[in-house]
Amino acid sequence: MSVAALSAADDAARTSDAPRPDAGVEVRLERLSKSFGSVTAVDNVNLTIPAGAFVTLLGPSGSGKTTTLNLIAGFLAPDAGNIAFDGRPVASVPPHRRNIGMVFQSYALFPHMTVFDNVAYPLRMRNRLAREALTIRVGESLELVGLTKLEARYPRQLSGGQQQRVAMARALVSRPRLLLMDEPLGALDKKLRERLQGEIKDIHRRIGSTFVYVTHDQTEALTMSDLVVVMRDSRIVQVGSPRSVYEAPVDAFVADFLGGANLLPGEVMANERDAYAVRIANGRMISVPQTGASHAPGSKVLVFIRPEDVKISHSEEMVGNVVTTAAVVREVLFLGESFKVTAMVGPHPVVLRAPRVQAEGIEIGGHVMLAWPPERSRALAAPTGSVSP
Amino acid sequence: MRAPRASLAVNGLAGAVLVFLLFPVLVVVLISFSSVDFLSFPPPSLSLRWYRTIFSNFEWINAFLLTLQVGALTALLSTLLGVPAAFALSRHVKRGQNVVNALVLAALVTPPIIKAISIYLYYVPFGLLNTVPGLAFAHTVSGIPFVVINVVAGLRGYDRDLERAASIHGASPLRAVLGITLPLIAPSIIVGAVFAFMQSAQELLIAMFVLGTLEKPLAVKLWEGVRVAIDPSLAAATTSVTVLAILGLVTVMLAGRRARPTRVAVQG
Repeated sequence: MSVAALSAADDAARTSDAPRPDAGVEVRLERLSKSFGSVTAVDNVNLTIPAGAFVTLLGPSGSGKTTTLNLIAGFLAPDAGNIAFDGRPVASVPPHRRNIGMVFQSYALFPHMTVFDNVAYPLRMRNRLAREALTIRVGESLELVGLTKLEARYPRQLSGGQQQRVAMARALVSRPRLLLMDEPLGALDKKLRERLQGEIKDIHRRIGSTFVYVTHDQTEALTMSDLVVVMRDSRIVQVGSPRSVYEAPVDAFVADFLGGANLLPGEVMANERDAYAVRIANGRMISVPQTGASHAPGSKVLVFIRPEDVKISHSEEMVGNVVTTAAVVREVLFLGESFKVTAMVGPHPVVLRAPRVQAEGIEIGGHVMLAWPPERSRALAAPTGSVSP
Repeated sequence: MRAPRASLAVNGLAGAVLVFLLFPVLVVVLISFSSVDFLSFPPPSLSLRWYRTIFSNFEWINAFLLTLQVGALTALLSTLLGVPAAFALSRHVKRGQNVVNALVLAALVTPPIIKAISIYLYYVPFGLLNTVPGLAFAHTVSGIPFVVINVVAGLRGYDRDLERAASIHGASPLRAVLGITLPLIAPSIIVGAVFAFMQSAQELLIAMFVLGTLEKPLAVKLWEGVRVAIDPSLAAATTSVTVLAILGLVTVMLAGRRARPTRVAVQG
């Protein structure tokens, strides 16, 4: 490809739907650790972020996700371990030479500059552009985030959503191959947040840069990401596609953090071919597939099943390959499109969603049967100190 | 209705304290407009003759200019040394911050006469006695704390993410500080510099030791004036200094206003 063609492709990258193949950088974290005094913020983190992927670091506050992001940005130096962009170590590269765009939780827009100057800032620092080219690039970037005609305003004259878009435009204007976002939607109301989630995802598809997105909101992580990295207590506990972390969590923490989860304590009685026979609190033996960590007979486990996978009925006549158990209804809540039913299996509650038709005749204190497809359940290691069945 | 009565009492007391503090100043200001040769209050009639007297007298004008020179140099030096010190103190001093703070403030609590004597002895071998830079250097010692205190406070309220945003988007550390941080904490710097200036303009003891013999800054001239002959020209000079102080205060207030958003927020 000639130089002219290359630059033409470069210009087209913003407008065409197909991003350049090299639009994103691969980020590799190797044995990364960082402590602040006696507090360990990031503990031996290993992670490869594929080029062009939308990766979310998900975890509660204090899980180390923001510290990890700051290490990638170069604001912090790791105590141990390496960070490499496209295989090249960046330890000696200061933040301003890493060629990264970043959206801050507080937006961090420069209050003494107009929207135009804010967005033009990275271009003025990084690229030496003629005035016309600069104006065009700033305009393109503002258009990309759906914000025009506000160039002369100051940040404080904008609504929260508009400030968020300016922060996006500034982060994207110099076409970085890596974009870091630190809870960028945290300060917005729910409706706007949902709309911007869609827009950010769309921008990612169009420009193809690698996006690293930090959030504590599991819905945000599940809807936007190619890869979800669940963090807890300074460590990565699970990495996978949104579906795999949701459907096959590695432990009770991930199961619970990613949405409503039923966790029934039980004891492994036997290994039968590909399944465990687990005895749960009411004495019933149920079948749980053998995936992930293995459990020896006699070990305590938590049987994980998502509320939407549990069916409820009055009789034992359940169709298909399901496991069933008796339960007593404790609570029925009307949610609009469905009912949220809490039924007790022994001393343990199981929450489920019953469509209106299914919920017919279900009353508090009534005896019901619960059923779920065994392949939707998982046996998770019971945290030490948990209640035994 | 107890609350209004209580607040009336508080306001009354505050007013009384204000009068007590400011009445002497008011007396001096009124006397400076007196038309007679001796100090009398209230003045029998008003005139500007004493202002004409001091502003046509070379000694007074020189004293005024000298004070401005020393003050401006003090403010400049205090800012140049105090701002980096404040950055270092608030960002890089992790342990012993209290000790460093105390050292910075020590310049303010050292008895002035001790400072005056020690600076005098210290200056002899350097030939800094009776020089404008000499006095400015001495005043800078007391000027730095004002800049440091104000800039440290300014940096405390400054969102560090702004500097990070500059840096991640391509600005070197120096450009990030010069282009983003300094403009945003400028009000704190200005306030510190004004305080440093005012501190220099009203300082008497060190000025007497360092610069008291040949050229006399305003404070020294006033002091000698009081000892030699009391006439309303002193009141006029004092009032001029007061006006200078008020100008400084106005600058501080304007700088404070700049720190807050001045434009009306427009939503939509």
